[in-house]
Amino acid sequence: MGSVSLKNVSKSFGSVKVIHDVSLEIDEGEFCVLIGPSGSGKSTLLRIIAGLEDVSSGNISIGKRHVTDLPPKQRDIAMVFQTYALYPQMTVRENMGFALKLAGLPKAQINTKVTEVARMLELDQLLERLPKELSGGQRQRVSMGRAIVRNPSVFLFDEPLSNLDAKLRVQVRGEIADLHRRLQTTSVYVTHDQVEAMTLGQKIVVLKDGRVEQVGKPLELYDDPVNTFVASFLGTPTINLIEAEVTGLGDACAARLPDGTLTPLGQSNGCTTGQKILFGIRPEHARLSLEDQPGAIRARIHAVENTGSDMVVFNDAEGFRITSAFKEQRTLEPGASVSILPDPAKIRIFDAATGKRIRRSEDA
Amino acid sequence: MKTTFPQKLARGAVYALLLIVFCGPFWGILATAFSKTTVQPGQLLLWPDQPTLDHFIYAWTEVKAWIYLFNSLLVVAIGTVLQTTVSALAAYALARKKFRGAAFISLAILSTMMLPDEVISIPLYLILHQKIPLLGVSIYNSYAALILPLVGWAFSVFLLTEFMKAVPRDLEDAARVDGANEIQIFLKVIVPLVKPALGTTTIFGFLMIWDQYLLPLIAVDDRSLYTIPVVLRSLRVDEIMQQNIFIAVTVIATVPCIVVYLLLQKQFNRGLMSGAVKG
Ligand SMILES: Nc1ncnc2c1ncn2[C@@H]1O[C@H](COP(=O)(O)OP(=O)(O)OP(=O)(O)O)[C@@H](O)[C@H]1O
Ligand SMILES: [Mg+2]
Repeated sequence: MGSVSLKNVSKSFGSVKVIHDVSLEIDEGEFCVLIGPSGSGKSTLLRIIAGLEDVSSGNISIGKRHVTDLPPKQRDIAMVFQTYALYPQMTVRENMGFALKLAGLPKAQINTKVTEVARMLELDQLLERLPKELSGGQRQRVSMGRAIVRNPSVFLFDEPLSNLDAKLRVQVRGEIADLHRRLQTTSVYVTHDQVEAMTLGQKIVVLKDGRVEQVGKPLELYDDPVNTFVASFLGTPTINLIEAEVTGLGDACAARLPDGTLTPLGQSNGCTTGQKILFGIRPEHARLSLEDQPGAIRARIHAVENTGSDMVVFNDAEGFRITSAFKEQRTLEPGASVSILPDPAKIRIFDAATGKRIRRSEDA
Repeated sequence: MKTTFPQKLARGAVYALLLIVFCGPFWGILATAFSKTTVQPGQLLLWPDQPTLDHFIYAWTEVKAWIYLFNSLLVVAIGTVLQTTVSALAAYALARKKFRGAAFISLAILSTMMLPDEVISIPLYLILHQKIPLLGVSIYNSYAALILPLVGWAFSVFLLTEFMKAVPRDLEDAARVDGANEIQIFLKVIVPLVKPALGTTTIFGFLMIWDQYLLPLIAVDDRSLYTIPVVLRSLRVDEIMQQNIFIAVTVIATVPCIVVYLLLQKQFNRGLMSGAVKG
C-alpha cells in the first residue's frame, strides 16, 4: 500500500508561506518527479511527506493511512538525501543496517538483508569501509542501499544525483530507473534537472513559488503546457516565445509576428483580433531552410551549436530571435540568410499578460 | 629542506631549555619527595639524597592523605561524569532545539563565565545552607555540596554547542527517518561525532574539578570531607610539618592528573586540533 496523497497542504515558516495549498495524488508504484526552480519548495514538500516538517494546514495519507500527525518513523518511508547523510562513524554495513537495528531486528536477519542489497548495488566489497573511504558515487549508492534495505512503501529522493559528475549522473539515473522497474516502490523524486524529470518520471509535478503549476505525464507537459512557465521550464533548447498579435486571416486567425510575418493559427475558437499573445514554438518544430519558403520567417543565422548528434541554430529575425534545432548535419554559417517555418500543429499560444495557455481548437 | 648542523644545534638548545623550564619543577618535587634530606619551605632538592619512601609512608599513614585522595577522586569522578553529561545535553538543546527563551538561557550560561569564583562564594555558601524542601536538610557538609555546584560549566557547554552545531542537520533527519528517537539520535549520531570535543571537555572538566580549592572551603567544614588541594594548603601553613612531607602529598595529588591526561591524551590532542581547523 504505497500511494501518497496530499490534500490542500500549506506550509509557512514563521510568516513566510512557502507551500500554497498543494494537492497531489501519487499512485501506488508510481515514480513521481517534483521539479521546479531553486526555492520553489520541492525539498520542503518532500520533507513534509517524510514527516520532517509539519504542515501548517492540510492532510497527508500514505497508503490508506492518515499520517499528517505521525513522526517519520511511523510513515514507512525511506529517504535519500542530496548530501547522502551517511553516518560518518559507521561502516557501510552499519549505515545500511541502522534502521533495521533500531527496529529491533535480529542481527542475523539484518546481515542477510544488508548483504543482499549490497550485492544488488555492487557494494559487497565495501561493506566494512567508512563513508570517508568511499568515492562520491559509492556514497550515493550506499545512501540508496540504506533506503532499499528497509523495503519501505515509499522512497523519497531529494536531488540524489546533483553531487555527481555528468557522466555518473547519467549512469546512476539509469540504475534508479532499473531499480524502480524491479522494486515497483512508489517514489517521489525531487530534482531541478528537467532531463532527469523527463527520463525518470511517470508523473511530473512542476512547482513554482510553492504552487503546483501543472501535473502530468512527461510528454503531456512537454506537448501541452498550461502556461509559459511550464513550457519554458521543460525542454532544451528552450521553447521560442515570440510576442505577437492575433489578427484575422480570411475566416481564420493568424499571429502577426514582430517582423510582420503572418502565421496561421487555424480556426481558433477563442481568437480575438488585436489580442497580444506569446507565440510558442519548440526549436525542433521550427523548420529551418536555406531556401525561401512561403509564409516563413526570414532570419539570419546568429550562431550555430553542434554537439555532433544535434544542431542548434540561433537566428536573428527582424525584432526577435528564434532558435531552430534538428538532428541532421548541415553546413550552416553565421550570417547566412535562412527561412524558418513553424510546424502549424505544434504551435502553442499563450496570453501575453498572464502567460496562460490559449487553447486552439486544433490543440485538443 | 635540509637542516644544517648549527640549525640542529640551535633547535636542540631550544628544546633543552623548554624541557628544563617545564620539567624542572617536577623533577625537583620528585627528588625532594624521595629524599631523606629535609628542606626548608620554599626549597627543593635538585638531586635525590639518601632515597627513601618515608615521606610517602608518613603522608599516607599519619597525614592520612588517602582520605583526601579518596575524597578528591570520588568528587572528580562523579563530578566529571555529571558535568560532561549535563554539558552535552545542554549543548544539544542549545545547538539544535528551538525553544522559547533559548537566547536568554544561552546568555545566562555565558554570564557565569564572567563571574570570578570569589564573587559567588557568599551566595553559594548561603545556598548550600538552604534546607531542601520536604527533606529538611541542606547539602552543606556533604559530597553533594562538593559536586553539585560544579555540574554546570559554561565552558564545556559552549565548546560542545559549537561542535554540535557543526554536525550536519541531514544526519539527524536521516536518523529520524531511520526510526531513531531523540535519545537515540543524541547517543548514536551526535555524541559519536563530537567525541573529540567530549574528550577535551572531560579533561578540562577533570582538571577544573580536581583543582577546586575555594569551593571545598565553602562547602564543607568537616575535615574528613576535605579534598587534596585543601589539605595541601593546610599542610603548607603547618609549622611543624616537614616540607618533604608536603611535597610528597603534592606528588600524590599530581599523579591522578597525569594518569588521566595520558589515558585521554589521544582524544585531547584531536579535540584541540579539530577545534582549530573547524569553521
Ligand atoms: N527551515 C526554514 N526556515 C525558513 N524558510 C525556509 C526553511 N526551509 C526552507 N525555507 C524557504 O522555503 C522556500 C522553499 O525552500 P526549499 O528548500 O523547499 O526549495 P527547493 O525547491 O528545494 O530549492 P533547491 O532547488 O534550491 O533545493 C525557500 O524560499 C526557502 O528559503
Ligand atoms: Mg531542495
